[in-house]
Parts: sequence; structure tokens; C-alpha cells
Amino acid sequence: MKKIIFYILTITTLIIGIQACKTYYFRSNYKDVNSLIHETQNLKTKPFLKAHLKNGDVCILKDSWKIDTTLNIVSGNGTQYDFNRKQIFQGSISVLIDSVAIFETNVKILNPEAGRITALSLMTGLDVVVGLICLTNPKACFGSCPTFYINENDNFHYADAEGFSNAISPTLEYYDIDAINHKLITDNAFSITMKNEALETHCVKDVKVLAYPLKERERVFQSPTDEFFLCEKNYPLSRAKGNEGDITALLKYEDRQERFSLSDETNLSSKEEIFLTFENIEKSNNLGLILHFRQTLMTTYFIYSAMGYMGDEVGDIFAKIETEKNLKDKLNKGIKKELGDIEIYTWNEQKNNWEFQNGFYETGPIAINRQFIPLRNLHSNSNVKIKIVLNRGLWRIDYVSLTNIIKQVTPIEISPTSIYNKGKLDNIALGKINSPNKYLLSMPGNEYKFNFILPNENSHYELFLYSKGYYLEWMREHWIKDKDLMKLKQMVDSPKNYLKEETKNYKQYEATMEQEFWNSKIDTKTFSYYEN
Amino acid sequence: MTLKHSHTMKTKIALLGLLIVFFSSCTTPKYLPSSNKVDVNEYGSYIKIIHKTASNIDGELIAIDSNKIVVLTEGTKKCMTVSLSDVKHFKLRYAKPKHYGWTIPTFLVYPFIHGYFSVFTIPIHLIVTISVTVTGENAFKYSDKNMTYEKLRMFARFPQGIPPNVDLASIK
Repeated sequence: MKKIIFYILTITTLIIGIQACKTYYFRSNYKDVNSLIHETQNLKTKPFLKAHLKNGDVCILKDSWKIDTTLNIVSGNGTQYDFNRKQIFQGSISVLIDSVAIFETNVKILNPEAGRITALSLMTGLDVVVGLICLTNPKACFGSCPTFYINENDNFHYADAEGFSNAISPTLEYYDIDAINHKLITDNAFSITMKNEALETHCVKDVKVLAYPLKERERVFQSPTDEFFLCEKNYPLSRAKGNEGDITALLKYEDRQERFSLSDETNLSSKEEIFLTFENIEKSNNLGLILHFRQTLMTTYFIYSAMGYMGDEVGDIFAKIETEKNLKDKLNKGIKKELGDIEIYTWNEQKNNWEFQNGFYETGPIAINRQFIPLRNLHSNSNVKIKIVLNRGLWRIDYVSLTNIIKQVTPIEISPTSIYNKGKLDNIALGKINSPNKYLLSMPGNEYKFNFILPNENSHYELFLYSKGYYLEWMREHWIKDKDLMKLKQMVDSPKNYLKEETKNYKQYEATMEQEFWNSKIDTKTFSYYEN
Repeated sequence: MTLKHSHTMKTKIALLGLLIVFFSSCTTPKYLPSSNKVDVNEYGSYIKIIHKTASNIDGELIAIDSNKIVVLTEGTKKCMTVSLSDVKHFKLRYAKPKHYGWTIPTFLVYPFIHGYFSVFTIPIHLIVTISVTVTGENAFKYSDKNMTYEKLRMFARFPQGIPPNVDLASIK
């Protein structure tokens, strides 16, 4: 944040400095002709000459004027005005030097507006750059689906969860469970803040906390199918290798230093492999793999592209999605299926091959998902080899490790006891969230703080956030010009071909937008223009 | 900030911009040249004198000597003489300024496509466009802070002083 303020101040100061006020000194007066001759003879460009006559007239001579010291006259082409500045003559003028009271010359003021024009040009340049970033990557500027924060002051790069990212219309509503880590709850109260940081209408049906009390060294992890497993021990990664070489340091620690790759240059649907090795495993018969991951901006690009292709028919098409089951199924399968999960394989020493275990999939580029899959059919071995197969350029992986499963468990479901809307108690919002058929509408800039009471004080809990609902993306005016229904049809009916043909466009977007998105740390507290 | 407050704020900003455009485009005397014609302008510069005791005087600078300034006033179109000892401050404009007031509302359109970044780009736009407008309006000016009376005479219609044959009342 400080860095951004520093950059802004620097840019603004620079722009203002460029066009700051200048004082021009350009005029000279000469009471005698000798000083006029002396001081103008070395000038590269001869100035116009004003001869102020003793009677109040003025002669303005063009740059071809001459002084004849023998005849004691100054002559040239120009215009003569009387004392009221009425033009009395134009043409060849000869004036007796003795009749002149004062000679005046002026240096041309060159490009006096250059500084201001440069300042406005620089600002326009800045506008174009920021505008392009936002037009090509709206999520970087306008956010996405409901974001949840344990620390309400965090910005969206540190969101603890993002809810129902795929639910872009009412019939696509679903519930989403996100791990929000284990916490020591000292006074049995827990709060989480939901923000709408996007140009979207969020229709939130339910927000709950799922909690499981932990004993020392225990953890609970959530599988992609929303089963919960009580686990103990943690086996850190020993080695990891990707196409680029050793990536152990990137995947060994929960430090937000993520491993990601760029998409394939010829086909967006293109797989890559990562090989993991875990050593010194004590109990290999009940292992589970923990993976912390999130998506790059690739799927965001497809969602916004799809809306752009719909153009001014976006309302009609969304109405079709609502009413035609086939279309909804196609949307659910389409590109998502083509791009695939993060597939996990384990090495079977006896069969000498890779065995498929399960896959991870969660839409959304903002919050890091912390999930887990139980590993089956592992033989007793202190070394475990795992292969991850994933689509190139689609995933960012922060952390992998192994753990031992104790048992499957069911966390306690806790509904909010109060909701605060921008610091004020909002019982209407609470009523809507706790009512099974009502929705809490959250508009851009809204922030709701949900408060929960946990069963015990001074206890460690593994916490998960349950959110259910859907959201409506606001159509941007500039998207309408991208209307291309054929492209939309190809995206839905033939995702394989679409992904191949769209590669060039996406690569241009990917080259700059990913970096811009992740380098920007925006204080979303200041983005608020709607209340109640 | 509520939606209502936001709209009020936007309206105020738009009004401010329009007012600046309006006022900045109609306050320059006709006899002032554009900046590229200061060398062929036959008139004196525009001067505004802040009087120590009486009301301010503004108009074309006709002449100045060691004791007094003669100004052809804007309002009465008659010459007035002010003693130098009565001058508190003066401001002189020797060329027509370029008006950039239009940039304030026009450039404010951009931040609407800047999403979160508009939090930063709106202030930048306001600071830069207001600054450009203000410096544009204040270009081609001198004041008693950077101009002596001796040099000020160069910007008079009669830098040599009032010609002996000219009656002040006849100057237009």
C-alpha cells in the first residue's frame, strides 16, 4: 500500500512538475539605436522590431528591418498604428531614428503549452495502460464473487475464501466449502467479513462456519467431495520437479510463493507433470495428500470472454441457461472438463506404474484452497512418489505435504448469531441468512461481518466456511462490441477447438495481465459507493 | 459513502468542472494577443492593481513612470492614474491563456473504467487536470513578486511614457 502511494505521489509530482509555471522573460527595450544594433546582431533569428515613436505611434517592422546610420533611419516592411492603435499605414516604412522614443524587441515564446500538453499526454498514457489492464482483465480491477476475510482489513490478495465462483446465474447456485485454517478461539467468538469487491450482484443464501475441535497435533482436512478427515503428523516434501527443474522450495512451505507455469503456446488445453517425492514416511497405509492451490486468471478470461461473446444478447442467453437444462449441463462440462482437474497419481512399485488417485478442482483465482485427498493402495514404503498432472497455465500451487488419517469426522455447523453491515447491527441481513428461502443481496462495496459463537472457549478449532448462493455479473458496456455468437457456440459445443483457436489471444493477455494482477495490492476498503 | 452521497459528489465535481470551463473562457481582454503574437501586439498588457486604500483597478497598461501608473480601465474605458505609493500589489497578463478547464470533466471519464484503481486515478486526474488548468490560466503573467516597475514599463502601450502631444482623455 505504501509502495502504491509512493508511486502515485511520484507520478503525480512528475506530471505536475513537467507543466509547472514558467516565467518567460522575452522583451527588451532600447532607448538608443546603438544598443539595439549591438544586442541584436548576434541573434540567429532576427526579431520583429517595434519602434515606439515620440508622438505615441508605433511601427511594427517584420524581421527584414534595417538600420541606416548614415541616413539615420530604420526601415522595413510593417504596420504603423496611431496612439489609439488604429492602423494608419501598412507596407514599406522608413522612420527617422530621432523620432523614435524606444525600440522594443521580443524573443519568440516557443511551445509555451508543451509542459501542459506533455502532462496531459502522460496522464492519457497512464489512462490507456490502466484502461487496457481493466478492459482485458476486469477481475484485476473489479474483483470477483463474494470474498471472505478473517481480518477485515486485508485486501483481496489475502482473501481467506471466495464463495461459489462458478454460480454465475440462479440455476447454477451451489454451496461451497473452503478451509479457513485452524484457530485458537479464546473467547468462543469468531467473525468473518464478506465483501463484494466486484461489479456483481451477490445473492447469498447461506453463510455458516463448520468447526471441529482439535487436540494437540491434530488437523482436519476437507476432500474435494466435502468429506472431512481428522489427521495427525505432517510429512514435508523432500523433492519436487517440474518441467522447469527443481521446484521443491516453492512447494515445501505455506508461504504464498506459488509454482505456476504459462500456458502452452499452441494449445491452451495442454498438460504438464510435476513429480513429488516424500521420504521417511512412518505409516504409509493411511496417508492423505494436502494440496494448497488456486487458479490463474485463465478461467476468469473464459467467463468474461463468454459474456463478451453474448454481447447485447446476454440477457436472452442467461434466460436460456435458466430454462434449458441441456445448456446448463453443457456449460458445466464444456471447457471445465476439457481443462480438467489437478490429477494425482501415486507410484505403484509392484506394478511399476502410476495409479490414479483423485483430482482437485476449485474455480477462482483469489483465495488459496486448502484441500486433501486420501491416498489408496499404498504399499508399505518409507518413500512415496507422487505425480501431479495438470493443465499448463491454469493452476498455482503453494504447498504439498502428506499426513496420516485418523478417521473421517463431521464438523459442527454453526450459523451466525449476528451480522454487522458497515459497523451497524443488521438484523434484517441476519434474518435473510438464517431463513432457508431468502437471499441476502450484496451490492458492490458492501461488507457484512458475520459473528459466530463456538461451543468452547480457549480451544483450537479447525474451521471451514460454508457459503451458498449465486451472483450476477454486471455487463460492461465495452463488452457489447465483442459480440460473437459463433465463438460462443464453439466455446460451448466444441471447447477443444475453442481452446486451440483462442491460444493466441490468451497468450497476449497472459503475458501482461497475470503479472499486473499479482503485483497490485489494492486497499479495497476505499472501494465503496453503496450502503444498505 | 452512500450511493446518494456518491451521486451528490459526482454532481459537485461535474459542476465544478463546468464552472471552471465557463469562467476561464470569458475573462480575457480582447486586446491581449495569443502567446505566439506577443511580438507584434500594438497594445499594452492587461494589469490589475490592488490598491492600498481604494478599490482595485484593472485594464490596459498605458504608461508608467517613476511616480504613477496610467491604466485604461476595463469598466469605464477611461484612463485612470494611480500613484505608485498607493499600489499594494499588481498582476500583469501579457498574452491570452489557453483554457484547460474542459480537461477536468473530460478526463474524469477515464477512471470509470479503472475499477479499484479509480480510487487512485480519480485523485490523480483531479490533481493533474486542476493543476494544468490553473497553470494554464496563470501562464503569461507577472506580478510584483517577479517584476519591477522599471521592467513593467516595457509592457505598457507607451513604454516611453505618455507622449506630450497625447491627452489622456483621448486615449481609447
